[in-house]
Amino acid sequence: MNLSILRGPQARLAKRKLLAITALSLITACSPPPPAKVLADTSNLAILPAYKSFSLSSEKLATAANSFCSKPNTEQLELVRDHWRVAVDGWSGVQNLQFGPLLVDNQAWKIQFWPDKKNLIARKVEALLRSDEALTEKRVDDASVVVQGLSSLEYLLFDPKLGVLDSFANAATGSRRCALLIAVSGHLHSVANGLHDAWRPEAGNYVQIFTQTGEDNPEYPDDSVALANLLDTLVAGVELIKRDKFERPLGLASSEGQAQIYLLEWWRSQYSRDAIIANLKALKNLFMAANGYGLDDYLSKVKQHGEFSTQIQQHFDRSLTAAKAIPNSLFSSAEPRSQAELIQFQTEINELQLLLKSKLPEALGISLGFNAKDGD
Amino acid sequence: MQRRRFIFASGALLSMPFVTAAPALAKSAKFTPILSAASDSGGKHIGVWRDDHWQMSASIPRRGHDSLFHRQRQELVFFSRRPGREMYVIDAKSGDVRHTISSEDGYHYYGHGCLSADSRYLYTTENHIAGDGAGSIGIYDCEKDYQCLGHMDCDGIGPHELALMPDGKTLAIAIGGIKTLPASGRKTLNPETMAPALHYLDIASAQVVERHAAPHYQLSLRHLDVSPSGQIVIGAQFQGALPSRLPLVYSHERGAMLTPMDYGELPLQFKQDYIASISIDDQGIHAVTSCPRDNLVCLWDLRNQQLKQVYSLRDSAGAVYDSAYQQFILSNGNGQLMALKPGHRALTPLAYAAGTHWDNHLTLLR
Repeated sequence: MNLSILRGPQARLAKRKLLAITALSLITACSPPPPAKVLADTSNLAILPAYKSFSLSSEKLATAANSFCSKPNTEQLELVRDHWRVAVDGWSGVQNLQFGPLLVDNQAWKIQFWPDKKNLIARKVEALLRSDEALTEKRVDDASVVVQGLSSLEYLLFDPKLGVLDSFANAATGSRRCALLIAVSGHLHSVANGLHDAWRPEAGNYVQIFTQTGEDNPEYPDDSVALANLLDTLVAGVELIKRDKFERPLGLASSEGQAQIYLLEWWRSQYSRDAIIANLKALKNLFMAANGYGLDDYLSKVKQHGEFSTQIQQHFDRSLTAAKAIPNSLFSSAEPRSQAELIQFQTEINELQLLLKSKLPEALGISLGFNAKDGD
Repeated sequence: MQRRRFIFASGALLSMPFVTAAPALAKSAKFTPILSAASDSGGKHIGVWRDDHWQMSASIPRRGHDSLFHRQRQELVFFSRRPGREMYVIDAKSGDVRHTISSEDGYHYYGHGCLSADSRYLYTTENHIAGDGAGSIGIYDCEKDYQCLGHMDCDGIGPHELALMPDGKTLAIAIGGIKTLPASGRKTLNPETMAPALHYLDIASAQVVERHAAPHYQLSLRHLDVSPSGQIVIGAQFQGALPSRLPLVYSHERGAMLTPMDYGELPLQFKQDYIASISIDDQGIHAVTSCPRDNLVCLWDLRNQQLKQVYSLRDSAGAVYDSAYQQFILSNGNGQLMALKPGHRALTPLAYAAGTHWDNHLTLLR
């Protein structure tokens, strides 16, 4: 079509039409190959929102800590505890990611110190409170990771030995406990916000590194190397739930296993089961790239494993249902071995783990780790 | 592309959350060619990788492990992974396999070896199967077609990596402590009675002259390297319930105690307690350890024996110091070769062999 011979509205219409056609063909031409689509959708629809939500929840927790300390009463305490729980949900949404900024310079340990075999949290938090140092964010950042993050806040907000409200309201101890609560929650927000920033396109833009693979990419020479990290995250995440958050602390790893209940994640707040639920939701969301084109679609549409893809989703759902059916926090389970709901959850999480570990790598055509699996 | 790194250096917390570092591009990054074993869809190989291609490679039936470059003889020597019984000697110029050496009857290789000071003899760690799994050091004459001259008792089960000390007279041997016999494959037969250690063996007398038990009986000491001044860095793989929270990397100097390297709080990152390759630079200033199961690589400062930085690298494997470019070369199970330059915040890509799994160890063709 020669546009120059057209005049007036006719020309404008034709131009618009041509533009529309060009745009459409550009979209078709630029439509990324399936692995790149998985990386983009998983990042934009699952990972970035998870970091954002963790950052926001930690900000609200910091605000709530300030309000509580300006007027320490039962109502305010419950409010700040609730915000702590939401922040743990937020952290559980990114905790299992096995790549990217979270892995740089120990970020995870700044957020959570667990398991705490030697009760270091109590000892180090109390030691810091007893000192006469100013309790600022900077001081917390310079201190041991043991006094940082959600675990330190859990100790301050939930440890039953101290009579929590009284210890904050009390004139003798209250001001330093409040200063520490405010400093640690502010520091946590900096860490969470930093992680979100590191991923955001507008800031650190790790999302670009993770999604635009290629020979000049500093970490991912092609899509399969990046996809492998999603696989690692799913497998390692479910393994962590099964082994470290469930079987080992409850003594269910073997028939003669001894419960080591203080190895439970979030035992002080009795939030262990809820964190597992948040983990499972996040892992399922990662697998499906929320409502986008995720590993699930890649499995069914490209790898011709539609049935297997559905099976994984169903096992995530069954594990979630089984976790939600546990009526008590794991910490308060008197006889784990004879509690039917726990045994049911164990069965489900085992099946999910087996499915992800033994079948998913092959279905995706990605090795789970050559030297990691079988080194020497 | 610019790479922005997210750090939290002390004091920089709120003021400077990002540091920008321009990565070297794969095209321009240089490195000395490396020897490695590898696997891909075509099977298992040994060979030399230069820039972006195999300069030479040979197919082998089972996984290879470590290798060495015999400079005088211009030969490459590749060792089978345990319980392999083959050792391959390749002409460094033509790439032809000159010899395939089989271990003596009743022995198999553990996958590592080193040369004598004059490069005449090759020493290998071996399992004396016929001796109920006793650890043994094989002696081979490089000038006589790598004929086996005999064995020395290293007085410990499961010798793994060994190195010649700068005195030229002593072998430092990482005693893994794990007893296996080919009849039961790679199954550990002595999980409750392991005795991992660092042994020094005097070559002339064939006697172990100094020994240091690992701090825990299940802390298998498998890999080591020695600095020009004789400082040993040795790494562990824990065989009990994980994580052990035990130090995994130790320093040693003759006559002293085995000293854990100082981790600060960073050991907490190790969930799988598994150190693979160890490499010390030519000045004895830095050491690198790979931790494939935790997808990490650690850089250590040997002057103060402290952990200097931790890098994330999925399925990290080999590590070797490339003095020509003042960098450590790292390999991984994803086919990546990366450069670690002390002082640089990020690793930089050197090469990528799509679909290739690099095996545990790298050697320099130099």
